[in-house]
Amino acid sequence: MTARNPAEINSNKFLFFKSGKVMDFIKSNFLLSALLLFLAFSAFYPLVRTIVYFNYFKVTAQTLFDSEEMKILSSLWPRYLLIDRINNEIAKDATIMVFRMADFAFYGERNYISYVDDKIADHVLQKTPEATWSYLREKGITHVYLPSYPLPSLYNSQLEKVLASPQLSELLYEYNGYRLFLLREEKVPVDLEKIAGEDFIANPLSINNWNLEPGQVRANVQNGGLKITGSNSLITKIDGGKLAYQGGTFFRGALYKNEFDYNFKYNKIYTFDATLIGNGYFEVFLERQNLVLGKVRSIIQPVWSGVLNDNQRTISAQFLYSLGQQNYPPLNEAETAYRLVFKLKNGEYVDIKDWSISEVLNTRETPFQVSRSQELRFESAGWNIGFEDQTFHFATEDLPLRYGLLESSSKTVFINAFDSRNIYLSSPPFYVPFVENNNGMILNEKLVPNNMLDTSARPIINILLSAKGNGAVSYNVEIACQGYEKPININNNTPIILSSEYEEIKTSLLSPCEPKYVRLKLILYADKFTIDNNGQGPANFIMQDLSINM
Amino acid sequence: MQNSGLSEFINLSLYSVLLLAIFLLSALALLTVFTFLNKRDEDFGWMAAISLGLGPALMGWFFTMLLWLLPKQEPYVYIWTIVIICVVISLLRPRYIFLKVKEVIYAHFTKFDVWQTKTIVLVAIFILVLILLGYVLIGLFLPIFGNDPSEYAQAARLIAQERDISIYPFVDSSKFGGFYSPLTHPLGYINLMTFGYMLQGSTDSAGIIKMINPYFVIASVIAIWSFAARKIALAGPIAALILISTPLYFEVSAKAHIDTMRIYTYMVAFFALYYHIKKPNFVTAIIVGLAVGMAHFTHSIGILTLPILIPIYLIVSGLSLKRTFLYLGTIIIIGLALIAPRWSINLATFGSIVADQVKVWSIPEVYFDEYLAAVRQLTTPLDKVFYGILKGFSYPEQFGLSYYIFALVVFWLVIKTRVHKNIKLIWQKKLFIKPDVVVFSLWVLAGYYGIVSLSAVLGMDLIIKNARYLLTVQPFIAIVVACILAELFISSLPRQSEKILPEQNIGRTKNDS
Repeated sequence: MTARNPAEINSNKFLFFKSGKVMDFIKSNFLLSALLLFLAFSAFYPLVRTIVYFNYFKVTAQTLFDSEEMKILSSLWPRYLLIDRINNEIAKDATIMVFRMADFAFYGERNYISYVDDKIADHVLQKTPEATWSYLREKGITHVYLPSYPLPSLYNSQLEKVLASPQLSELLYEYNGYRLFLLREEKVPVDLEKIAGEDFIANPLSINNWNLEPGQVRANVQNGGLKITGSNSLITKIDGGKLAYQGGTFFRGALYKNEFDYNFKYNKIYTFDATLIGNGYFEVFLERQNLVLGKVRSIIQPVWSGVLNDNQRTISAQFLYSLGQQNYPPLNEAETAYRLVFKLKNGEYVDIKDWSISEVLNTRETPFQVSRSQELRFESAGWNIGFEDQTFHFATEDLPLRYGLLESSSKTVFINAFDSRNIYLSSPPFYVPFVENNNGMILNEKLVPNNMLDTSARPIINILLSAKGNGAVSYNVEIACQGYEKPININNNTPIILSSEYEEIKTSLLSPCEPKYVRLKLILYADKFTIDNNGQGPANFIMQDLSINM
Repeated sequence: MQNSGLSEFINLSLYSVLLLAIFLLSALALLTVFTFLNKRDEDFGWMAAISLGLGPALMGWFFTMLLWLLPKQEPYVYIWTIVIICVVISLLRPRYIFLKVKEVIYAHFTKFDVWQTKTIVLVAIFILVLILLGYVLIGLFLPIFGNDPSEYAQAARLIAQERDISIYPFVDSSKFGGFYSPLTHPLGYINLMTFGYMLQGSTDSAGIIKMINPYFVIASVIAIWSFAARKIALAGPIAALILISTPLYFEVSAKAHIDTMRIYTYMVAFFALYYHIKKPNFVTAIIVGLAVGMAHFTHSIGILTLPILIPIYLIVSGLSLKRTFLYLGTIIIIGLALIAPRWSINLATFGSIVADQVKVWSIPEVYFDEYLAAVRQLTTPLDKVFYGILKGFSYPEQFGLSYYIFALVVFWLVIKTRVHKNIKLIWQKKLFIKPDVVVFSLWVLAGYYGIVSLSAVLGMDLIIKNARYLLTVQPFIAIVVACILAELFISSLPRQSEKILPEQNIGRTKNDS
């Protein structure tokens, strides 16, 4: 009897591991185990990244079948948030100079011209900010769209100064460094308030207020300025898995709130200027640090970036202190600390002679022109009334001419009207008949704050409506905050029973943030329902407050 | 902004299936043509493997010619013309092809007749399927994102709307809302997107055009598996896995970048060259010419294909002068003929075949080159070597550990073959004349990196500034690593069967006499 060939025994083993014998198996099949591990490891990156990408687009079971447009404009990428806002809020006849064309070309809905287009290439050759501004205006450019990364044709031309000057341009929106500027039609006078304190001006004592990244940079005050020197070694740290040398970070401010820190105001525009000379890739950003659930959270907001080349120069920028995108609750201002961070990479030194930050005060002298057309949009001001198999009667003859009315095949009616300060929602009473057993209808609208309004304080949302009928009404207020993905919902949980006499439904809510939009949903349960404004006149959307009066 | 919902998604899925079916049909048609031209049974396997991607690529070329010759037609004219031609050709010998495909696949998988190799193959297939599923899900559910893919998608959208390729490249922004895209890239990839738009009947959203890359990833898997398995069967799945799990490869493929198809066509051009060199004949030269043409037709960097291929051919083919002239001439003529129209247009429009410069970047006051050098860490000569030429080592977050493992296995290979003791033998037989898969791949790598180094020395940073361009030869890195790892592994097994015996010596394949 011959012994069985071990190979025959092995050939009958096929992916079978008895418990407790795994280590024996690995030892006796080391190369196999190593190769299997190698193969398994190779799956790691693609599988993780697939999940990450689905997360970027917030794809869940509920949103899986959303359209591509919905997904891209709901994504976590700031550029798409900005494009969405431009599509919704910038005039249709605007022409936008884009420094990142492709996304805008594919998803944007406005005319644009690329900064590399030969038609406007000479903008970099203009000698003064005013000449650059005039040149672009003559080419029909009304806005400028910037990405968050540095572009030499921007920071090495006078266009940088145009976009840093509140007299010549207005920073409308910012999302993590992606910015949209309006080129003013004429140069306007501007008041700037220099942020107090010599803290931001280098002096021999102020060095003590600055923190240095250990082992990465050296800094000293000299000749009235602040010199940062990067590390001289070729490789100083592993950065993101890449072998790299970099100068490190030099920042102002303490880890948490202290008396040296300036409190930036949300939604305010600031200018930054610095005179310096240096070599390397230099970045300036504002860092907000906030204590959330006992942990310090950090938001980086780009201010300026570019490559220095040993020539003394001034760098300038406007930045809007915005929330950008984040996925945690709004910052508690009392618990926020600010740091101005200078970062030098792949370079040798930067010698900062002087710098300053100023707040831009209100420059508006004339009322803004409303730039929207009569074309009605789902998310614009107006009422969206949807129902099935019903006939909707609306007395149009009493409406002011600025109302627009659209009746679509789906029996959806939009009413849209506004001027520079007010949004009008309805006028006369309207009557909606229901068939029996119809259990409800939703009046559903999103109010978008007019971007011209100064809503620096969190607004109060007033809801006042009068209703009568044979049924009940409840409401839901949905508030979407600037830069946050998920809206906040506030409901009254108990429907209000109506009667034959008008019932007044009145409530006031303090918005937890500056709203991107407010949607009031009235859920009606009735077989006959009448809404009117109780003789109050048109609804007003008032500066500082959002009032929905019906 | 309207939410399309489930019904739209079902629509999208059906059109995706239709697009993939048309791709497969074009692959079948091409394979049918190949089998008519080349009746050698032993060549069927590799011809089938490369037809999977070469078919759609050539279909795209044909579609481009149709658009050029017959502009402004209704989409159904182009679609039906292509489909009918593919169907007619495919109906010539479908049964033969089906049976041969079955036979080839069966013959390949019977090589794994011990549990160790079966285990590895099954695990590799499982992981491959998982990763490929990720690609497909991204293509189905996520929108186009990223700068370059959005630009290609927008270019394709405009061509699909106009149904006229004379509008490309987009050098007059006033005609299309500001879209300024002075690309010198040929239309290989862009026009497959155009075809996709026409097929789905709408340019409102990207839709099925996002399924082009997943298809070419699958085609790449098949092609590289088939090629690496020429050396050792087990190397096939390992090479495929190494390629598609390379981080940067995954990123560009997931984002609908042009690179997936570009890498595929370049890779297949050299695969076809290898097969041609093994058994040189006129037909296989034509196949190489077609593949080279498609490498040219997909991306501007395809212009490097012939300068790398020609020296390799001259070194490794071992043919007489006459035959070299005949076959290499065929390859060059076909390869250039397919790209000649586009290069003519580029010359007329830009004054050069390839261009990557716009006016504003060339203005000295902008200091654009200094900016690029700083942000891409290419300021000093040492930077250009370490962060440029050797990106595979200095950017592990993009290339993974593939280059490090490659260096280790090549070192092991050198030690194993005792190069220093057998230089003469190797010089004469192993490295130069009809080398095996591993050595051939090393030649391709040497050729590509030779050009990369030369361009860097001459002060041109075009290739080294962008890691995606170094991804071009990632398949050959994967092949070398996979073959040597597989050989190491197989040699550790007790001898089971002649069928899995690897070639023990460099330079010989199983088919060599």
